[in-house]
Formats: sequence, structure tokens, C-alpha cells
Amino acid sequence: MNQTPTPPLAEVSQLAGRITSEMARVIEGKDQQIRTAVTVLLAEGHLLIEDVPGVGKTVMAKSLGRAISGDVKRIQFTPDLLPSDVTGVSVFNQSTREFEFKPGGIFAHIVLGDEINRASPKTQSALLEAMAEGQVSADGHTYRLNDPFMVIATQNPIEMEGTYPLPEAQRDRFMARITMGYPARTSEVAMLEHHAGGDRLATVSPVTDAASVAAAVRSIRSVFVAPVINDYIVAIVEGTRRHPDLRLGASPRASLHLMRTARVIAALAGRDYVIPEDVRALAVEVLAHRVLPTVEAQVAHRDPEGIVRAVVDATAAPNRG
Amino acid sequence: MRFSQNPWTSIVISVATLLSLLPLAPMVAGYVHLPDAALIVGVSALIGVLLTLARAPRLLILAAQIVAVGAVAGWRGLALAPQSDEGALDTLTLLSGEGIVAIRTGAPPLEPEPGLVWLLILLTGMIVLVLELLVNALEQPAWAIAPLGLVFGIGAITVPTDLSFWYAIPVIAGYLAVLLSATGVPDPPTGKSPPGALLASKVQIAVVFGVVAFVAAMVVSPMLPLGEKQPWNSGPDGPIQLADPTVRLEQDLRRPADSLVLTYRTSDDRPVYLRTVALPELNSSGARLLPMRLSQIGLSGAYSFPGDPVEVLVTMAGVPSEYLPAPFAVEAIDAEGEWSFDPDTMAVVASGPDRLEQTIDLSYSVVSTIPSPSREEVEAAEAGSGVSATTSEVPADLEPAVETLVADVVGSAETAGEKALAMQSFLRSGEFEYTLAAPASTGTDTISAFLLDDRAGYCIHFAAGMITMARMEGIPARMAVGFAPGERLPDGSFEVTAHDAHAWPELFLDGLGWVPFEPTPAYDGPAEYTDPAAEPSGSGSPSPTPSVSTSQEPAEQQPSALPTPTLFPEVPGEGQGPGGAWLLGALIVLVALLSVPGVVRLIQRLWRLRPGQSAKDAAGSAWREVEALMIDTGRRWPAGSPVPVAAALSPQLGERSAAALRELAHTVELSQFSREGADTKRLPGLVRALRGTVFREVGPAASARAVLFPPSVLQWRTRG
Repeated sequence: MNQTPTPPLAEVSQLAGRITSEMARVIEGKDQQIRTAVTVLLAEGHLLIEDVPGVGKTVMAKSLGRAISGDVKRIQFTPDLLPSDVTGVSVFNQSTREFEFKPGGIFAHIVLGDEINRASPKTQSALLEAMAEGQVSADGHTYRLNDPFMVIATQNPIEMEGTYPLPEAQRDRFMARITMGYPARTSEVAMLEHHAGGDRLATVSPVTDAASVAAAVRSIRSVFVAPVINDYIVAIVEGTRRHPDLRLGASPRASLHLMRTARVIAALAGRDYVIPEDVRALAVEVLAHRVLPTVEAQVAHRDPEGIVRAVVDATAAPNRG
Repeated sequence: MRFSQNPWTSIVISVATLLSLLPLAPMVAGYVHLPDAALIVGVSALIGVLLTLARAPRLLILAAQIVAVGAVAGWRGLALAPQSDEGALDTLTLLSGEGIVAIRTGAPPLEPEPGLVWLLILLTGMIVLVLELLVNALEQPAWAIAPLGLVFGIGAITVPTDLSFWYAIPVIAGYLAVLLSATGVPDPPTGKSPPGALLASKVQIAVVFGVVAFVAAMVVSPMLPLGEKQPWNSGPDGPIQLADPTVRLEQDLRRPADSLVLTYRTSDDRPVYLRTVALPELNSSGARLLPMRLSQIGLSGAYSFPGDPVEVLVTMAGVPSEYLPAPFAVEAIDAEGEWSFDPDTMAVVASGPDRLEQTIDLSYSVVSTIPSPSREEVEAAEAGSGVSATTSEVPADLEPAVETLVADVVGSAETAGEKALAMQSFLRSGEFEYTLAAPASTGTDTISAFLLDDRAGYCIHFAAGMITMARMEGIPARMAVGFAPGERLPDGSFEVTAHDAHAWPELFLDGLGWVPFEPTPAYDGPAEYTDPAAEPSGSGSPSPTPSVSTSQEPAEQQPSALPTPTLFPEVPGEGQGPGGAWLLGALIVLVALLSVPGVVRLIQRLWRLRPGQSAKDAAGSAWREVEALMIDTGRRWPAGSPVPVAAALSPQLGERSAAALRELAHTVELSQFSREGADTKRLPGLVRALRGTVFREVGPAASARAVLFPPSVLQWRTRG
């Protein structure tokens, strides 16, 4: 495979900046969420967006895909969606008298899994396995997924009707979870004005290509993580396991994801090494969806985000050498 | 940081302990206590070495040393104590009591009685154990100066005049040895301690302690009388400008109305000449001072010629003088204010801040060794040598006839002493007239005229004349300036007035030292040895006379047996009451307490910025120092990594400080988190530069507060 040479970190930072500002043109007032999405893309992770319908989850996914001029496919998860709809299916071709693989919705750079918690667990797991392994196996063949490959799954809040909540093990495969939240009043007004002009997604122009993003991802892998930073990451994750308000703490995969996001954040800041602030920046987004509060904490309305934030604040950072 | 214990350390501690006992020499006679002290420290060292080699925990080692030292000390105590039927504990208690009584009642040097030796054994054991605790258990070798300096400190307070500064050298040597032997930071890759890794920082700490001690001495010394002055306080820094004493003499003599200068009382009720200064130089333009080599230490014993000891209690009237009137040659003085002396002339000079006013209403006591050779001794004496050549220089341009005159006067005299007596008799003869109407000069022309033609003048002319003649005969001579003995009051004290201002010659005779003569006829009291008319064994006249009976035995051994100032009787109605002492003590304690935060902070800073740390440690401690600096200058320290913290603090700082802080933060961050690390050698310099710019920005008041009362020392942190 012919790879684009890895760019210096300064260029990675510029690339991310271009993607972010392009997306911000169509998603008003959600800079933090956009930055998180770009970070997750560069950290080779998948993003879970959890929110009520109509707040721009889909626009987020599509604008990201267009900005990197990658393929974007959308899979609308419904209760009757089959695993093969996701991964693809082998079909017998009458003319060639051979089975041909018809790729499913997952063969794209950016896959938008809409309302993932409406699908049956079986279909969900087909998606999640593909996400974890970066490949699909069908009829004895292995098909590699695109590079970069990122799933942006949206999920309605689990209290809503007709949903199958994602099991803990599967939520763990998402690098980060964000909520869009309702836009600020000014942003919403601006959105209406922009919508008057037609399809705003069409105005998003590619600022890079998928190969450049893949090269940037490889660049970021060279960012140095000092042993003290690894200790810090593990200390935070362990903190969630020991916290009395949590009956399930974060997994070792959470540590790995936290390190990768920290690396991207360091690279975007133009550094080739990670500082504790990089770890803290997305700790809540990376950890909160993986932990389960105790019943008592739920009753007391202590949400996972707050608990994780408290754990992060309580963990001593290696600032003092 | 952990020091790894080193078997050498215990040995070095023991040796240092022994060295620190050497300043006992002026306090305790003999060296009876030294074998026992050596036994105690040897036991401690043996156990320390063996258990360290056996890798025993350091607290266990210390406990074993305490038990062993206690046991040996107890055994030696029981061996020293007289046989008794009492229990061991009672015996030792009794022994301690005897030792305490010996200390309280005896005068230094104390006789080495068993009780005293036992107390010294206990002291030795305590010093060695405290050192083990500080150096090995608590890993604070820098504080070893406290136990090591204990004996020296006691000496400095109790026998200040006998405790030479040189006794500090073994103490300091022992301290440095302890610092050097305490091993360095373990090197992470090898786990071994590079020898001397902490040397630089330890030297720094030693310097800090030196500076602190010096500053403390400077703060404390103006409050203490000279007798208790710390011996390490060297002479005054700046040159002291001394006024010409002959001018003052002129003024005093010619003053129309007489005025009281001082009253004094001597220990043997005899009158004395109170000298202020001596003028070694007499050249064609007159008698002059030479530059002095002022010193505050070594007064006792600086003049080593025989004489009779006398103690004089002087009460000055409101007279300013930069010279302390005292009989020649001063052995010890007990006077408020800062005083220095010149070892050549034995003049005592005020060197304190208000030196010109230092004598006003001053009461002081002086112990002097007054030269008092018998007439026979003087007659037999040859001219001395080995003193400043200035005192032998014959003034230039004398009239040739003076030489003939001197030859006539000396006549057949053979020894220098006989010649001097002949000159004195010549000047005191009826040929000379005492008058204040003579020119106020001791220049060559005046002296020639005085000796040859006029034969009239006052004290300076007689003195200069005799000096000139003596020098022509090869006898070193100089002019002493001061006060004649004055008038005896009914209560036995003497009153000296301005009209008693006087000058007289001192001639240097072999084996006798500087012997004063009295060629001025108006003064009716030459010492018997100088007065050819007096009976050699005369009992002295009832009139005030500076003479000292020659029937006293020669006093060669006297100077060393002088009482210490603590044994002086109090000046009646004067001196510092107990209230004053309390106030002084409270002040010292207060100053010491107030200086603690600043000193702690100073040590902290030097420790953090010490060289020889690993790159990460250096970065971490440099950054903590920056944090302390920011807190000390009134800023809130935000949480976070160096660069974000620097960014957050920058708006509160001036442009230069902010730039320096950002550079520091970047270096610290690189060294802590980056793959390549950073050059941390520059960090201490950067921190100091930042400190400088920050202090300049906040102004002197805030800087002083930050230095003296740094809030950061109150912030204890659990990490780092």
C-alpha cells in the first residue's frame, strides 16, 4: 500500500485546524464537540453522540466526512436491521458464476450509525466487532475497512422508548461520548438564517483527503508519552475503579483510549510530548460513558460525568517532578 | 531523597565529636577527660560501622548506639565515683551534682574532678548521639554544626578572651568532614551513590550556615559588651579615621576652665597613668600616629612583657573620645560598645557605629599589666629590638649640637637603661622650665631649640626631647598620650581632669618591653625606677604617684593568671541590671525567632537549586522554587503543568518576568515530559534571574517581605 509520507506535527495541527473550522461553518456554537470529533478521528477511535433527536448529530458526522473528502455512509439502525446490512453480503453473480462480496454500510471512511440503540443487539455487535478489528470477515474472506475509519454512532438517551441500551462492553469500544446539547439561542437563530439558503452541508468543501488524514494519524503515533504520564493515566482510570459511587470503573481499554486522545491533543498543540493537561482535556468524554454509577449515586443524581470529573481532579498530576 | 548510610559516616562523626571537644582546653585543665571521650565515640563508631555493614535499619543502629553509649558512660561514671554503698543510679546522680558544683564554683580552667569528667563524658555521648540522629537517622547532615559547635559556643560565652579563634578550626574541619562523608543521592540506574555528588550543595549549605552565623553575630554583637564578643567577629571592615591625639592634648591643656574627664579606682588603690594612644612616629614635623591594625580578638596576651597586673574601674564624664583611656598594657576590657585594639601600641579604639560618642558617660573596667621593673633591672637593660623600625628613626635635620648634647648627657652610662635614666634626670633638672607658653609643635626645629636654647616647654616637648635623645642612642622610643594620674579623692578614687592631659615617652628595653619614663618636671611622680633621688626600696610617698612598689616580686608569670572579666566586681551604681539582661536576651530570642522563616526559606532555595541533581529532580525542584517565589510575592499559584501555569500567571507579571517564567516553564516541561528532556543546568540561573526581575517589579517593600516572611514556607505539601 502506497502511503502518504507522515507530515510533521505542525502540519497535523494545521490540518486539524482546517477541518475544525470548516465544520464550524455549518455547526454553530459547538466548537468543543467538533474538536472532540476531530480528536477522536485522529486518535483512531469512534465517537458516540448521545442526545435527543434534531440537535445536529447527523450534520456533525456528515460535515466531518465531507471536510476530509472521505466516503460517508449512513446506516439507519432500526429494529429489523440485519448484521449483513452492516458488514456486507456475498451474492452469486450469474454472469461470472462466482460469489461477489457486496460491501455493507460499514465500508466508508466515516460511518454514521444513526440511532444505534434502536437496532437489535445482534446487529449492534456486528458493527462493534468491525469497529474493534478494523476488518470484516465474510464467507472465508477478510475485507479490510477503510483508512481512516471512524464510526460516529448516535444514540437517543436510553430513557426514551423503543431503545436497546448498548451493553457496557460495547460502549467501551467507543473512544469518547459527547452530547450535542441544544444550541445557544444566537446559534440557533444563525442556523435558521443559514438554512434559508438551502442545504448547508453542500457548502462544506473538502479541506484535505483521507490519505492525508491517515498519514496524520501515523504521525501522531510518534508523540512521546512519558512514563509519569502513563502512570497518571492509569491512576485516573484506577480512581474510577475505586470510587465508591461507581459500581463499574473504566477498563484498561479506557486507559489506552485516554492515552491516544492525549497524544492527539498534544500534537494539535504542536508538542511531540504529552503533558497532564492533555490527559485531562478529554478525560470526562473518554471515561464517563464506560462507568456505571451505583444505585445510590443515581438516586442522589450524581451523574457519571461529575463523578469522573471528581476522580480526575482528585488524582495528583505529575507536575511537580 | 534518601541518603544511603555509609559505614564511614559513623567514624567521621566520632572523629568530628572529638575535634569539637578541643575548645574545652581553656575551660578545663588537662586532658583527663579525653581518653573517656575517645572511648565513648569509639564505641559509637564501632557499633555504627558493624551494623551498617550488616545492613541493619538505621533506627535500630541508633538505638544500639544509644544503649551502648549509655552503658559505657554509666560504667565509666561508676568507676570515677568514690566507693559508696549507694545504688548505681544514686552514685551517678551524686557524681553529677559534684560536677555541677565544680562548674559553678570554679573559675576556668576547671580542675578535672571526677564529677566534671563524668559530665564531660555525658556531653560527649550526647554530641555523638545527636550527630548520629541528625546525620544518619534524619539525613540532615547540614545541621551537624549545632552539636559540633556546642562546646565552642560555651567557650565563646564563658571564656571569650582565652578562647582563640583558632579553636573554631577543628570544629569546622569536623563539620566539613561529616558533610563530605554523608553519601550523596543514589544514582537511579546503578542504585549507588556517586561519592561527593552532593559536595557542591553541602559546601553551599556550609556557606549558608557561615553566613547565618556571621549575620547573627553582627546583629547580636552590638548588644553585647566586648568581653562577651563572639571570637569569630573579625575587625571592622572600613578603615577608621583616627584624630590626632596631640591636638586634643593641646586643647585640654590650654583650656582655661578645668573640667572633669573621668574618675577611676584601682584594685590596689594606687594611681595609674591612663594612656589613650601612642605615637610611634617622630619625624622632622613632629609626633604622629601610624596606621593601626585594629583587631577585636586576641587582646589577652597581645603584650607579653612583664609587669604588675592592675584592675581599673573607670567612669567617664560626658567626654567623647575615640580612644579608651586605660593603663598600658591592656590585658582585658569590659566596656559597652564595640572596641578594637592595636597590637603594636596596645591602644583601644572605639570601632562601633557611634564610635566618637562611645565613651560618653561610659563605665568600664580594664585589666592591665603595668611595666614596673626595678631600678636595677632598668639599669641593666639594653636597648630592645624587634619593634617597628619607625620607633628608631632619629628625626632628620636636627641641629648638630644636639648630638654633642646627648653625648654629654649620657656621659659614661653604658647600658641603654642607664642612658635613659640619665636623659630623664637631665630633662627633670632645674635647667628646664615647664611652661605652656611654648610653641605647640614637636617638629625638629622646636625640639632642637627646646633642647639647646629655650629649655622651656610642656609635656610634649619633654617627651619628644627624650624620644629624640633615646633614638640617637639607638633605643626605640615612642610618645604615649593620655592622662596623668590625677588627684586622689577622699573615697580613695582618683579624679582626672582636662588639665591632666599628658604625654610621656615610652622606651623599648630588652626584656622589659615598653617602659614609660617621666621627663616632665611639673609632674612630681616619676616611678622610683626612673627617679634617681628615690630610694630603690622606698615605700612610696603618700601623695598621688603612679609608682608601683618595687618590693613586689617580678611578675613574669602574671599575665596568664589574670582573672576573667566575669570575676570583676560590679561598678557601683552602674552596669546592667538583671532587667537589662532580660531585655537583651528577649531581644536576641525575638530576632532569632523572627529570622527563622527567612532562613528556612533561604536554605530551602539553596537546597532546591543545588547542583548535582538528576535532570528531572532539578526541573521539579526549580519549578517548586518558582512556585514559592510567586507565592512569596503575593500571587496565587494555579494548578497545572508548567506551561499552562506560566500562561496563567503571565498577565500578573511584568513583561520581562513573564518571558523568563515562560522560558523556565518550557524547560521544566521538556525535562519532565518530552522524549529528549532538556538542559536543566541552566535552570538555577534562570530561577535566580526570574527572582531578580520579580523583586524589581514588586518593589523593595514587597521583596523584603518575601525574603523575611515568605508565606510559602507555611505551605506544607504532601507530594513533591
